[in-house]
Amino acid sequence: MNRFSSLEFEDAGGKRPRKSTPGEPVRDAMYFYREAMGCYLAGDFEQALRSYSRALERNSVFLEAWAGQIRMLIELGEYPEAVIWADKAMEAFPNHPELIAAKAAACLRDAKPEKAMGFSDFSISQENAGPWVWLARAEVLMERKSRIGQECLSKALLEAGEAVNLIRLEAGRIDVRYGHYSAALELLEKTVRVWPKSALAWYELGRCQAHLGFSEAKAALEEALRLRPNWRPAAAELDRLKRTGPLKRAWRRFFAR
Amino acid sequence: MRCGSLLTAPEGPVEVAPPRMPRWQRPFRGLARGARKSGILAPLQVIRIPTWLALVSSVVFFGVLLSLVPGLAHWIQRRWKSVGWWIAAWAVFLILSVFLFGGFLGYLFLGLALAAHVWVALHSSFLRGHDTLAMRIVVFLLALGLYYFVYTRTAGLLFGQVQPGYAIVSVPARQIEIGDYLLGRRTLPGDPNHPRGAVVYANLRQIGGWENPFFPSRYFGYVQIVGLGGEVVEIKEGVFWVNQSPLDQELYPVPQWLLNLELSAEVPADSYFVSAEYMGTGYNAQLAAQACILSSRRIEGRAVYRWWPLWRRGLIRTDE
Repeated sequence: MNRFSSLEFEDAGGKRPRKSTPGEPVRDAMYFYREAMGCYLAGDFEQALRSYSRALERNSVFLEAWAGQIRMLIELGEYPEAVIWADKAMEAFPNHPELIAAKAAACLRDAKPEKAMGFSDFSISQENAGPWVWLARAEVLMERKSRIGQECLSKALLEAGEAVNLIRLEAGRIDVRYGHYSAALELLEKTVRVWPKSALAWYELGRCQAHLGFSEAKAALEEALRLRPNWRPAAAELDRLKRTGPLKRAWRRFFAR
Repeated sequence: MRCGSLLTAPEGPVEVAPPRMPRWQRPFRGLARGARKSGILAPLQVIRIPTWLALVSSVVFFGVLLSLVPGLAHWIQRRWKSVGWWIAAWAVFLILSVFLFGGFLGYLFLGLALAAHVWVALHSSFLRGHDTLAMRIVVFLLALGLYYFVYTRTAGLLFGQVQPGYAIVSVPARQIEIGDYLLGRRTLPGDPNHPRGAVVYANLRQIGGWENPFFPSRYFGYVQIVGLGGEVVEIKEGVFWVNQSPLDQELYPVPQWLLNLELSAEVPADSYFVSAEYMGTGYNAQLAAQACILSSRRIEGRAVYRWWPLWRRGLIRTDE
């Protein structure tokens, strides 16, 4: 079983993935990893972090769980902790490009662009730079308003392999983050087609559509809230959308990129 | 998986729970991030730090600063055990240096305590990051100087009212010998209430003739008060007489240099007649009287304790 073979999260709302075989599932590292991914796709980063930790309890040399923990710390806004944890992970995986890239992303979000560029340079110089390395590179370059950022996202998608859906979602989120809504729209629409039960994907799509002035944004955000009721960011975004006047929507419809 | 990655399970338990940000830090971090993003902090970044100063990182700086309380920096970083023995050694050296203060051993242990303190502050920060012997020595000495300054200031605060000094008078009845290290209580200059027999810390500038600016304490020492203001002090046949009455030779021994003099002097109202074993020669009665009469403004303390040597350590009773 590879690590992305079970990412068709039909109930990606923070609940356990349904198993096709009867009986109690084996609670091994992969089980908790899948659970963490489910929580992540539901936008429940705190729970995802815990599940990654439990996966590591079962297998302490599980790189994806280490990297997942660092990404969740970044999602939770705990950037210095993410850097510390990446250093910790590198005790087991010295100079692993994915971990260095995670440090770059953490530094960038923490408004330390010079450090982020340094880590990104270093991660790219390593062998076997994977999709996460290119995602971090894209983010660092987009922060500098460089057009090469989009090319890095394309490179990440090319390198993604079987993790293409996850990388596509992340690429879309990065585009939304840096205001490239048109580019993000395509990526996120594909993502929700693949993962229709991912609250996070719907939420990001809704945000993107709202910024582009699309009326479909409301449905997307409502879908996110239906999948994960009382999710604050989605509710806040929907509330903001409802308060947006028609003129502003029209302006966005014609002039937003 | 990257080629060359370590995939064997590590020995012992591996920590899998990441560190978490305390909730109260969130707004402060947000502010700092906002400041960095908005460029408010940018002006600080254009200041070029000199290379020699860059060697001392903020970690080292705060490590040295926090380590003024030995082990505080390590305790905050939860690394106290790594310096536990050093701090124990520092405490032992410090206690010994206080106990033996005033003698060679006291200064030796004080130096060892100081060195142990500086080592605790630097060994895991600066000394670990810099291999150059010259650099290590320079920084160690700088820190030593800083800590010495702090020690002297702290001692001044804690023992400001204690006046140490060497006795330059011998009083067998009070077990005081020339060269004993005495501790006294500071008194205000001009205090007219010192009793006869008190061993006082005085500025004996009238003996030296001039004040050495480099060793201002050279002409200070503990001497004994024999005559009070308004009294007539005489020396007859090796015995002090005050207002025609002889004094006990055990309590008021006449110094060697005055034994052969027949002296008579009236003590001015704001002065004392003091007894001290001066080293000069060629005194006549008039010069000796001038040397022994001391203005009360030059008295700065009164001895209360024989500190050194150890075997004669004890309180000095002057009310006998």
